[in-house]
Amino acid sequence: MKAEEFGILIVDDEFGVRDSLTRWLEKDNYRVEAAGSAKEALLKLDTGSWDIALVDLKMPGMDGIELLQRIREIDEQIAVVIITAYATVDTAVEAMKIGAYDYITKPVDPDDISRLIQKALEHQTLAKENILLKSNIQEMQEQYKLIGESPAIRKCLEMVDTVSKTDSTVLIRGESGTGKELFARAIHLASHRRFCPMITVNCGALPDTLLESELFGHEKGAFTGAQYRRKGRFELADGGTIFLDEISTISPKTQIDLLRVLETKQVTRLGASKTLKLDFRVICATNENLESLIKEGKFREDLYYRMNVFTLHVPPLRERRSDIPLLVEYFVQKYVQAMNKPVRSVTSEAMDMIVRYTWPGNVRELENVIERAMVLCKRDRIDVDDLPFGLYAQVEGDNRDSLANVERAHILRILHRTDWNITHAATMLEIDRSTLYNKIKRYQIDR
Amino acid sequence: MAPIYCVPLDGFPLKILHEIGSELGRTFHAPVHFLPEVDTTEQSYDHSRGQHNSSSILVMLNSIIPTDHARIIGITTADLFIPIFTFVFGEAQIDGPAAVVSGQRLTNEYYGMEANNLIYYERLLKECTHELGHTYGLRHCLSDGCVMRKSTYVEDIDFKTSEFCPECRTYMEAK
Repeated sequence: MKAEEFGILIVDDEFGVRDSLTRWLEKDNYRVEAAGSAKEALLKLDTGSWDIALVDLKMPGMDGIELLQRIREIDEQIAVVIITAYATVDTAVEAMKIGAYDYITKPVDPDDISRLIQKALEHQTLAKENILLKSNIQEMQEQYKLIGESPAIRKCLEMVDTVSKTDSTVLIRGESGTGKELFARAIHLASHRRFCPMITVNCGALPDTLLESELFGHEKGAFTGAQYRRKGRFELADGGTIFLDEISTISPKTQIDLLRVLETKQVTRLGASKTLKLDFRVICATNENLESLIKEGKFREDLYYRMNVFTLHVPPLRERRSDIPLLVEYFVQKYVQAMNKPVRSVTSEAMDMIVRYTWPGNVRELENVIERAMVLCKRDRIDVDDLPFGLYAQVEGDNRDSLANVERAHILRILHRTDWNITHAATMLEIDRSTLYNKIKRYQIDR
Repeated sequence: MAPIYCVPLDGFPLKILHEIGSELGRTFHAPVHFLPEVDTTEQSYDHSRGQHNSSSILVMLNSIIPTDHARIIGITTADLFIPIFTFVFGEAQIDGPAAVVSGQRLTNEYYGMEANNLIYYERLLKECTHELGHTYGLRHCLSDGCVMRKSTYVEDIDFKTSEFCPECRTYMEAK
């Protein structure tokens, strides 16, 4: 930040002090104002924005200590520096205890005050950055919010709430596309570790040799090509959370190393002799049946028990169909903003179809379908037309495949395509207009 | 450019004053006039501190400036202070007409070292240019070596040059 962006308020009953100090600080480009009393200072605090207040301890009427307390009530971010004489240093120390940033003793060396102001402003900048980062984290929490009101998802959210208050290792299980990483992030963001990073490792995406150096890091020269020392993902997650996705894919050798790390919370970089003591929380995820893998000897039982302290089963979308309209609404809004399209919602026919589909790809598939529909949609509501044909073909239900339903959906599609031009639609359907009117009436098709 | 008036305060040597004044005239492209010596003791001397209050000297200089829009700089060998500080090398009014500079803490002898007139002269010139720069509206500059860089120690003065950085020079030329 530039000096002129910082505001300094000088409060001293002695004209000579506030006048000369104002002139001195103005030369450094700060925005400086002076007040001759605590009362005047409070008025300026009400109307302006200040980063530092230099407050004389002894003033007639309200003294510096009382003013400090009032400033704390108005704005706790302002760094209050108490100006005092040698005789009143004890009181200034008291002032520090109730929240003064620092104190200076008159007369002060010019260099001391310059450094003090600079230090206070650096402190202010860090405090502002801190507030900004915390609000960013809140935004992230919004961004990664879990959508759903079904009993199945409510149960999951309650478990997220419970487990986030602990440091226990969590195993998230669920089909592909159910949002396991989203749940991991929800646990991380609700925990006390949210101000530190959540590091994600997709174990399935890395070959075994690479995974080892990726997880534990390496020293320079640890292996051919290790030109630099590199921190591992566990080190990067220090203070935060490490999310190990597709944990079932790791090799037996890495399983042993991982077990040791989970037990000791200590990591040794490849090629290093020193062990690092770290503080992280582990969340693992898999879409495979680990119990079967143990029986087949592909996954270590001891690692399974170490990871499986707390298990969270994320239900597939077909087991929480009541959440689908909420998810659809969420994705529509998300893509409305991203694509800047005037789409408001989904027609009841399209929604009915979406709700009844089996969703083997779960929420991920649903999001993709909505994104695709948003691209294709030319009206203000997503309709059956905009959905992929595969979705239509696989809709569940005993009478969904009946001839009547297929006919109704086909007529609807043609009507949309012709923008409800009955003559044109009847021509395309190769029936006459009165037949089309009858069918519209029979199938209760509304525009 | 309006004239610069140089005033010797409390017995400041006239020879150095004239040399500094000529240099200031070249730097600021302004005619330089020298005023008679002024004794500031009565107006600015603080008996309890044994120093001169620089703000009081600025008030006095304001009262003797002969023409409008001119600048006036007083140079003294007395030690200067402003109420909250232990000392100042000088003080000036931003965009104002008056500046004052003290040579006392600019000598090597003050720090127990062997006298060096050349170093003393250079420091004095830098401080006078710096304070006069403030009277033309310049603030402290962050550029290394710029004469407008803030100096709270004598070492800071030695570190910088007596020249303006390109940005400060552009500002001065626009004046």
